[in-house]
Amino acid sequence: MDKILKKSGWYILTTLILLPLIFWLFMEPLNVRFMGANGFVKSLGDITGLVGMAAFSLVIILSARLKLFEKFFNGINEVYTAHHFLGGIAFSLLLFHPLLLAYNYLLFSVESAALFLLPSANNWAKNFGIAGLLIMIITLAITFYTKLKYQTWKYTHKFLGLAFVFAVFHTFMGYGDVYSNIFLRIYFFILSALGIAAFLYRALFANFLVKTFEYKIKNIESKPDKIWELELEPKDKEINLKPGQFGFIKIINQHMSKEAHPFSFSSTTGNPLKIAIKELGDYTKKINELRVGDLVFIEGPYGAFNFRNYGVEQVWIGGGVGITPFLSMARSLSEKDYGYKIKLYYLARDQGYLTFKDDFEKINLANKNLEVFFWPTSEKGLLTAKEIKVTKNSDILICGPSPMMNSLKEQFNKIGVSKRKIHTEEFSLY
Amino acid sequence: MIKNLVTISLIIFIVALVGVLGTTIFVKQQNPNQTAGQPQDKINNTDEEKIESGKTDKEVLASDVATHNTVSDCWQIINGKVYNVTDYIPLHPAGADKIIPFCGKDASVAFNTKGGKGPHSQKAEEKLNNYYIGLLK
Repeated sequence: MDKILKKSGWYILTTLILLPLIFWLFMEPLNVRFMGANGFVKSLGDITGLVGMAAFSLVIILSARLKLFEKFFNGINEVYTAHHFLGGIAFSLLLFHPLLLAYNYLLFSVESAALFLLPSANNWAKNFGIAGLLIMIITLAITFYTKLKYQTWKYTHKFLGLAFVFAVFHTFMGYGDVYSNIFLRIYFFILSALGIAAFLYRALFANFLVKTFEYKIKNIESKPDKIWELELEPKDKEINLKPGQFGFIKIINQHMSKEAHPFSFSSTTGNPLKIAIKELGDYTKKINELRVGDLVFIEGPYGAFNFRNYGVEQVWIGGGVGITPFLSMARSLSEKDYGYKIKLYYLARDQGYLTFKDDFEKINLANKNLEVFFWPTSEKGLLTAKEIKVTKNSDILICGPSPMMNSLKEQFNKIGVSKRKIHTEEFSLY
Repeated sequence: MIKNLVTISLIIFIVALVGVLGTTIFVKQQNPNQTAGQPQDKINNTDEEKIESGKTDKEVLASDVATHNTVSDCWQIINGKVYNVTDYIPLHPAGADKIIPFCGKDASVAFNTKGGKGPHSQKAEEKLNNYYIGLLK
């Protein structure tokens, strides 16, 4: 049952997005709606507006990052994939919405089309629509085409909440289809209310509303390849995690910015809790400023990357800091013998970059369920699917940089491994 | 993949917008005296102020209605009442081209029969009331 639910998220989203279209289809006879080229283009304008607005609402709702969403998706990573994908769709549809409606004017004169596309003094429904779309264009151009600091980007992204509020005004103030149809009105009222609630919860009042676990840094260990492992102890309640999961972590230190960042847990329990952090971006570069005793707030756990969901025969492939979920999984293997036969390939640039080599060697010696292969690519070259012994029963778990994951996925598909047997953990969240 | 979709949509949007606005500005520079299609915002506003200032229904002359005869400033007479349907043009379910020809004119027959297809719904009448200006004198 759980597995069916986990795949249902995309179907639910698709249904919710297309639902307004069904109300719309029954509002007026279709021969009226699609009368001639003008009616046809106008109808496309309606559809892009309705479907685009439904999608926009769902994108905002998904951004609430509720643990509930993980029931319908393969972990919060997939929720973010849906958020990003749907966001692109909503934006594109909403860009076409005014253009398609302007077409009818074009037949009369270009100037009248221009006036339709510009704000006017007493048409506030239109003006709110224009303002919302303008904010969307600016903030999404930043998302898609620039590489800002994470914290700056996150700040700009919050303005989409304002764009959404404007879009809601636009939807309800005009005398269009939403005004005419009680079902559309109720439906968009619910979506808009949930969207605004999600925005308030996640973007404006997260500090007061989102539940977090409070920890203190107990030990800081510097590892090779610019990786740090922090050991944390709970101040009060400990987080209850499964191996392979991650959390959104906010560290209170004058050198660190205040937003939460996603990091994998490398321990198997919440006390002591360990997280592995690689110095990659602006935020993680300051990790050496951390001190024992610093407060840490953790939201989570998130993620559905867990070997216990799959069969006994497994191949794990971890590249670089993508090894951390496997570290927590491997550590959990020693709790009890479940009869797993697991081959782990640990990829890194060269010997010196095999950060957790010692840890895995220890686990390898103590555990007959796990066989570890270290793979420094400078010596052995890139790992290819052919070099890995897989049977048709093997489940393959991969975590690492996207190019590595994509290339391996493709190679496994080529040698006939079913897609259902390949499980990846996207490391970069949108 | 989704980035490509966004890029293509954005390019189309910008090209269309620049095309429409650019053409308009270009045409205006070529014919600075031409004002056809220009919304007569000032006239429009003063008219409406005049109309809204009184509590009782104002009366509007057919000759006044006739001056609001463009898509950007469109008044219509329907069953003895005057409506400013400018903002409704893009919302008309069957397309703008069905109502644009009646800007500045009496659209009663067209409204009552939808070009021979029967009367409008009650909802349509309600919507029309949102654009009511006054009675025809």
